[in-house]
Amino acid sequence: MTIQSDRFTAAPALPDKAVLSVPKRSLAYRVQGVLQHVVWIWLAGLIVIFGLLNPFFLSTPNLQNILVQATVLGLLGLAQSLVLLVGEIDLSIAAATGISSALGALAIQRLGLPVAFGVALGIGVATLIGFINGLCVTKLKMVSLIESLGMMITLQGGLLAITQGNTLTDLPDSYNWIGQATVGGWPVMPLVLLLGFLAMGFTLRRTILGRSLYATGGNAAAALVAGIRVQRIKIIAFTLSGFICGVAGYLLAAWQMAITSNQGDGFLLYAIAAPIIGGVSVFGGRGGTLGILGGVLLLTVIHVGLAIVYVPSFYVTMIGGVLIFIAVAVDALRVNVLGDG
Amino acid sequence: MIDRHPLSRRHFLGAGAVATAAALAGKTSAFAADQKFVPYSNKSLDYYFFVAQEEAVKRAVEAKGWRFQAVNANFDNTTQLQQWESILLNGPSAIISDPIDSQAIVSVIKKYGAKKIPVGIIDTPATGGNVAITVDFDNYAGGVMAAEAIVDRLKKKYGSPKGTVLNCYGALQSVAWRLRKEGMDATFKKYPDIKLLDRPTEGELKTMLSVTAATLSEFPDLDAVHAPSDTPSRGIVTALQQKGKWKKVGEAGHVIFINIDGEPIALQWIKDGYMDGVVSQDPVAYGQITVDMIAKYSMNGQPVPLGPYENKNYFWEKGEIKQSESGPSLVIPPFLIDASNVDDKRMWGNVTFNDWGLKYK
Repeated sequence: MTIQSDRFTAAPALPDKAVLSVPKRSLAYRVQGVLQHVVWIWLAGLIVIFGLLNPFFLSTPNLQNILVQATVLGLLGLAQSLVLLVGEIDLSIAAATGISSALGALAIQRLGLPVAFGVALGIGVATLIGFINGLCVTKLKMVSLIESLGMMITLQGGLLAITQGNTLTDLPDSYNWIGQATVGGWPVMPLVLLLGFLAMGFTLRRTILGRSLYATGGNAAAALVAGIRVQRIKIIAFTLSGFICGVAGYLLAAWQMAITSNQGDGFLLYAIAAPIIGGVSVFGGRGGTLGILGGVLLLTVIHVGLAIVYVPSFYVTMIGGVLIFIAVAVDALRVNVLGDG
Repeated sequence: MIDRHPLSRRHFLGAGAVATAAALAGKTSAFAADQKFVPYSNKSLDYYFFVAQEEAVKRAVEAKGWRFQAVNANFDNTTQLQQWESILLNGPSAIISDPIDSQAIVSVIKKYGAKKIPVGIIDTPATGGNVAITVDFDNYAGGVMAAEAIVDRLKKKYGSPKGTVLNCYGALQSVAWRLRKEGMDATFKKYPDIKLLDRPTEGELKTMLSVTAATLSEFPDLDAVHAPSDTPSRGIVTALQQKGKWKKVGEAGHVIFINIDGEPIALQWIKDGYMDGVVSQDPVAYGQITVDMIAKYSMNGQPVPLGPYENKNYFWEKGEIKQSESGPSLVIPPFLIDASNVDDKRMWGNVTFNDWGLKYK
């Protein structure tokens, strides 16, 4: 495995940020290799600590539990990563997740649409929200941080208005199936996460779109000169991100078998933190799929671990924050050592 | 990487002794196999009410010699469901919870039911599933009672029910706050001469302060103010003080002030003569009764019996356990705490503040 295996550097756009080149098999090279995957080392460390504190943590059912709980966060992490890669940010992803699933579910419940149509409608709504975000950021030159904040508040308010503060339940069994189904004791839902990561990995490393995403985020002006239609790439990133949010929204509703009037809200900051912990640059142009997965699993392990080890509840939030802080610190160490920002 | 064979207890203890993180946690989860484990899933620790409620469950669980653990979901429904799923792997003997969402919690209650683990629900009832015992409060009736208490005082003031009333209602995503508002709205609808100012505050102290201050500028002769919870209503008190309206009951310029909850701070305002009354819940009773019922019946495989419930330890003394959509349910009747009964030692705010030493942070 080379140190570049999971990362693409837009070399033409980023000549000053190329990864240090050192001879293979040298100590420095090995140190770089270790640092490259530092998020996984911290993840392994946490698994050992939680396993010592509670042996149940190392059981197969708990692994399944972690995978299920990582699914929605993982998809939202991918959605946010697409936008981060092009040097933007989207604060509306969690709100889009909630409102899109609610609209899809209402179409099934009130309009009597078949389940598949309702699900597709919800995903379509989220995709449209992403597209609108992309248009606002590129064509209207709105600042993504503030544009998506406005969109987030609008969508949160919209969800409250649609649900009138009530929770949507009594969704059809076929709607809930994917969130509940198991095959041989293993939950089905994490397969969607696996598919998502495979698709993302393929897109980023094997397609023109992937290279264009990196180039746009790495140096938009240089990318434009190189013939990349930067605005279009950004719109595609936001739109794809919206699509993934729609899928995540459906999975969350199917797993909970319910849609609350603030569905999805708790995911936003974690969906931003996961990719960044995993090495995605908040300034665009850098990051890899494996790192994002590491970041997602790390946050989920912290979440699950703190729920099952005995920590007085007044300290849980603080300890969780410290563990995340350490994760960010080790990633910053990697960036500093590798000159890999 | 994942060890499918749980460590033996000896190995685990040996490893645990060297784990520095164990020092962090205070206790490891090593426990005797015969010790019952009853966790509590809390919705928040941001309000005195929820802190008191967790303390009540903790004391009741530990008094039985059971192992206690609490998790807090910070008002995030998804987090709460995930915590229930994670705790299930720990093999709890029962679980007690204050659900964030009455409907969404049903799916995990059913998962516990499938494993024959008794579930006790407090404060926020579930709309389904098989719950061993629910102990809660009729929020709608609480809203009605608070409104009627305000109406009574307006009648005393003017001879007939009229005047201007401000309701600093809480976030509508919260079922409890929404029902309190609905109860209050429905009651005031019966009195056309009372002008009700329904203003959103999200249940936040700072918003209650700004809303009350703005309302007092707009309506200097405001007759009454209400908050659906005591902790954030400190903002109302600050606004009244800023506007020179913080007068004792009976003094000229007094603004009628009635809340819902019954926290120590409200009892203090009543004792000091500034607050007219507060409609009380009883989080101490929620925790104690739920643990007792689970110990007495559910742990022995019996359903909690329906019928009258009487307990002189509580100010309300009598209630009735009825069948609800999720199983046996004791809805504690709301009652008004005012100057005449505020010193009763059984008031939950007196218990937590004076007997348990649970002070405001």
